Amino acid sequence: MAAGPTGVAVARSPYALRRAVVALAACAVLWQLGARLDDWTGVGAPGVGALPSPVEVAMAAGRVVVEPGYWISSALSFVRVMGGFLIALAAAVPLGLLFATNRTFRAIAFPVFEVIRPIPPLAWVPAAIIFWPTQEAAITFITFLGAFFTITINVLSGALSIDPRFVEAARSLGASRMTVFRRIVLPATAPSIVVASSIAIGLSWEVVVAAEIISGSSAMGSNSGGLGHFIWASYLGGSYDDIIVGMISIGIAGYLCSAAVRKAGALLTPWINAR
Amino acid sequence: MSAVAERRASDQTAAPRGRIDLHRVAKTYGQGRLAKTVMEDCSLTIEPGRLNVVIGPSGCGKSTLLRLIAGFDQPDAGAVTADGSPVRGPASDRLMVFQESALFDWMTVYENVAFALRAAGRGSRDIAPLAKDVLERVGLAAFKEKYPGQLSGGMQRRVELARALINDPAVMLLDEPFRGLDAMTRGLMQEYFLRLYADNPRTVVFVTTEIDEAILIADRLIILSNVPARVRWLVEIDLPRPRTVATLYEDDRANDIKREAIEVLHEEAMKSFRGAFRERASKEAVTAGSK
Repeated sequence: MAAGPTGVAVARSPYALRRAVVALAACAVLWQLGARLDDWTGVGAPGVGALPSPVEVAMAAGRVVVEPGYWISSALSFVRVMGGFLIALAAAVPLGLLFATNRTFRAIAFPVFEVIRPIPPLAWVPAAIIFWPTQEAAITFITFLGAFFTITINVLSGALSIDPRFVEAARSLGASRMTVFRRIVLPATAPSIVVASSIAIGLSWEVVVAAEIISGSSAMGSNSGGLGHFIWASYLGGSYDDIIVGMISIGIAGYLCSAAVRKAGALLTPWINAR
Repeated sequence: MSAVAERRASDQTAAPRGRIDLHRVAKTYGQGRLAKTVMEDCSLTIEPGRLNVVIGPSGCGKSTLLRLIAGFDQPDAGAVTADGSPVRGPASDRLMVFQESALFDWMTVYENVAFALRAAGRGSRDIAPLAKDVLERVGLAAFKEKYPGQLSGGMQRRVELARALINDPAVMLLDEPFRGLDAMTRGLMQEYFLRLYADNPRTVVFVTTEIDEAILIADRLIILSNVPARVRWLVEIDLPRPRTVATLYEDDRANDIKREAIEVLHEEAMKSFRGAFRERASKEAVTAGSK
């Protein structure tokens, strides 16, 4: 078993897939039991007793996935997440490196950054709707915020924790400041960038749904609101099965995105798992 | 003749490079109550083209000496000069090989070795034969596409040596280069190092804490005092080469030097112990006073 780029042990066991399937199936079985407990015993299970059962949800999913509206919603949310995430990545990596390498800049800009950072992305939604011209831009801005601060902070701390001997060894080997930055600081920070990205894309998924629920439900048609709007519309329409379908869709999308980022990260940092 | 050796042969007419002089050097790290004077009024000459081995009790300022010569740190007083001109910063003709390994994890063995030449703007076609030659000399040609994390400790140290040797530096600074290796690997590395050195003599400052290693390797043995560091004892090791641990074991001259060196080292180490006790006592007094 080898340490993955996130520091978490990566399963290399041949049983890994089987174990994952069994765990997911066990969750579904428990959920089914909880949801139907009331029918069998007359006593409802707390919480889960109010939910539709997994069988009902699976049937709803079968109905929903053939509707183009579902896929349009998913695609819209995906585009917003990726847009915000990629802009955040492009902005946060240089900013984090700048914070780490330029003390004057850090002294000036870091306090400002630290005051803005704790503001939850959702608290930005009303302001974003006011100052961005389109709702699309406003939602993308929210997903950007979800990813931006996490990546910046991780890149900063990653760059600051580089072993100073690496920099000194490079200088002793005659490297210029530019070479040290390009061939030492940047690759030594790459593992931090990968970890930060896989966390940040998950955060973008977390905030996109809420941003869509808050901002997307009013002005747009039912097919243009993304998965957040899909969930909200299902709630308002009383189709509780569809709510769960929407929730699970987001879970799967977030998982796939994080996995894709980790995979891309492993390709960019081949020395990490090389043994 | 190897490519690097050819390069050296062409500068053979020049005067030997790599003389280092420390003149009344002082160095203090930290400020206020945390200030620690590591070196004071230390004068020392590193003779060009020879194996200068520096030994001393732990924490006595051996690494500081190397950092000053390498140009990572500047003296607070006095002067450090290389071939007569003051040392102002790191340069690839005064090359430092760090304790443990400071190989770049994200570069393959080949990229590590080629790093300095690439940083100097040399083209790949220029670099390839030199890198191949130097990797062959340390016996790692077959491992050039591996990452440092995939190598054993001894192999990593050999890559370190290769990465330094390819630059053909006038001065090589080695800070306990074989520290942390098991005894057998260490012995092999010492042999390796001496063989590489015999091919390409140059100025070396080799820091160690092992007296046997010091006598095995040194042309000149420099024993530093307890902090603040000064030269406590300097001896020419005129034992014939090639030396091995086995021949030195039976050599009276070697054993005399060793005995005397151990006495001096022990005396200095005891000072540092007493110093540590005093420091602890005074710290306790300070803590007690502040309550």
